[in-house]
Amino acid sequence: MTRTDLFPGLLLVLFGALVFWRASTFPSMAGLPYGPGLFPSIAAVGLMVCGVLLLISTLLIRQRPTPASTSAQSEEDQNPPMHHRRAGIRLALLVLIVAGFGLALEPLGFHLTSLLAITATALLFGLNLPRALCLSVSLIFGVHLLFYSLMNVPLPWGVLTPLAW
Amino acid sequence: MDIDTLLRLFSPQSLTVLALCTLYGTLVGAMPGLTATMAVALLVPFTYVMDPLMAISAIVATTTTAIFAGDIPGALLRIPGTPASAAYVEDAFQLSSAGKSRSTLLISLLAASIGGIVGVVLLALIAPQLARVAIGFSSHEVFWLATLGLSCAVMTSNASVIKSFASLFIGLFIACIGIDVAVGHPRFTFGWYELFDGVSFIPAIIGLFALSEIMRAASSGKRQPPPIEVRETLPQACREAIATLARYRRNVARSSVAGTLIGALPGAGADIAAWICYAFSKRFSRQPERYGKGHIEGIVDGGSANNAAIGGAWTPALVFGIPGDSVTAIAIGILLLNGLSPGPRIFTDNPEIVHTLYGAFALTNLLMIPVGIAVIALSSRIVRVPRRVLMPIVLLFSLVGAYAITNSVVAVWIVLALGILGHAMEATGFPLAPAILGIVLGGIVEENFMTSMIKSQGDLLAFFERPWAAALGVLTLMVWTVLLCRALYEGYKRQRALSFNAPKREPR
Repeated sequence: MTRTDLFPGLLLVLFGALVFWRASTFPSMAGLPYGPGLFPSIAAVGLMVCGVLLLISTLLIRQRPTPASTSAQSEEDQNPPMHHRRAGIRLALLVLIVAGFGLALEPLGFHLTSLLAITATALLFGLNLPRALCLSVSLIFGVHLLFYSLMNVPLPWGVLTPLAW
Repeated sequence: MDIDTLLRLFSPQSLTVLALCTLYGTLVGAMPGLTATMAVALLVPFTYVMDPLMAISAIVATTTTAIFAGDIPGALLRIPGTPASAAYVEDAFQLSSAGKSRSTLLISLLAASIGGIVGVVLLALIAPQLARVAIGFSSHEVFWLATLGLSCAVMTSNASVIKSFASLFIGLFIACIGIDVAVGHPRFTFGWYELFDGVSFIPAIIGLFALSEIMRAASSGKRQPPPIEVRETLPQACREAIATLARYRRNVARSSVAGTLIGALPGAGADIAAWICYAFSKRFSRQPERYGKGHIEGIVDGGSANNAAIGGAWTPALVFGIPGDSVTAIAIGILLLNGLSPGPRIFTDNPEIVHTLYGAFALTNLLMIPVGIAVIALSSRIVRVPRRVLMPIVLLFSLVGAYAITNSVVAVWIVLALGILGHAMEATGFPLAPAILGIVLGGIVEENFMTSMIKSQGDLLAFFERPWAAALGVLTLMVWTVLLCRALYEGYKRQRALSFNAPKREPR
């Protein structure tokens, strides 16, 4: 366990408290002291206890000159911050692509949205543009046949509705 | 097994599905980073158009072969294809480096096939007996069984106890989202009526396993190492594989049985079985010092154990309706969608399901041998499929697959949210398996807990009144005690390690 556990620990405590507070507002069953809030409260207490234990064990270790911090430093030496930043950007871009897919799927339609999203993902992973386009067009064609034609999944057509087949 | 089941199993349609799924499972398992669970999750939309018997066979075929095929990138790239191959990846890689990749993979293929068959035979022997006991279970016993499953998931995970528990509670919280079982009050839905039914399970799995994997690939810019060259001819490798297996036949027998039993524990799956049997093998071996340095014995044990565990994992699923791992959880979901509820009654009400399951297992484990040999022959090409082509494909199938389950965009958001959660958890050392079981079993635990509480007017002692309930309850409490001791020991060990290490490291 390293100092990186501090943040997850805090998050668990805060999230548990939030869940507990929401659960306490749920109504109870007629004539019984407990209701829909009971089970989420148990989960919330569990989350808070785990969070507190993580915090305690992390803080106890931090008071000493820890080998954890030295090893963390040497890790940073091996992976320059530039690498970290690039990884973070790629991760954020991927999240944006998926979020964009969710937002655009119904208004724009499955085909156009997938074309954009898959091309972007392929570019993100280092494919060049012609190949990325090739990959996504053939992929969309395959998925269309498999899901829409074969399995009757109502994939939305969006702006292409007049062309639907 | 009756004639009807056999005829159905050997019908051209069913054989085609089995063959396709065997191939699909092998390919997905052979790709580093694509796990068996993910293979099954992405298969689910396709099972919607199949009848339930076919769907079960498809799932069985896919998992069985994916678990074996996970050994391929382990041997050639040192990257286990599925977590179940991680235990002996070092041995497999060392052997391949010495030019023995084909015979190593053939040995694990044959060991997997034997393990799988032993697993299903044991399943067929044990499950009906257990079902006879389970038919008298009430909400108290089911509550304890599900709780025991959750506790076992914490106990068998490789991460720290606190983090495993945290992961479990995250899963239980996710299971709470939606209309509650007791009075129908919407919980944590924030007015989104699509969430009233709860977080759908398949998009959740796709998020946790598939999207988080794509995210991991995106954040690590590392390129795959080139695979090792193959220097053996296939017939030569076959001869050596058979000779080795004959030498270690006792290991195969021992680990197949042990793997099945470990798999049958709710919460422990193929990966745990492989780890435990590998450790056992090392303990009982005459040459324990060669483990981890390219010794075949551990591969024989681990390879047969993880495939045996797949059969074992169906025991709690069929008998109690409580999934043993994430794959059987998906399978239970599919059965429920088809109006079949797993549980002790399935043995009397729908025996054809059970028989088809046994048959599919046996047939797949045999089909796997020729398909596996073909894939081993081509393996160095398969593992070379670049990530930049593979990842966009997986992404589109994940998103469309999730959408196909619910026919609504909410699925995409669930995939995204749980993908981020899964990636964050993996990056900070929280295991995913307890969370998955929490999501799956949360509903069962809560429903049976509330029913029992209402029946007994809130008397907690009622949970120990019936004999089976008391036994299961005490067992669960014992597991909790063990976990508590282990958590304390972990803390103690860390403290000691620190006070010993700190002064030594200072001069650096």
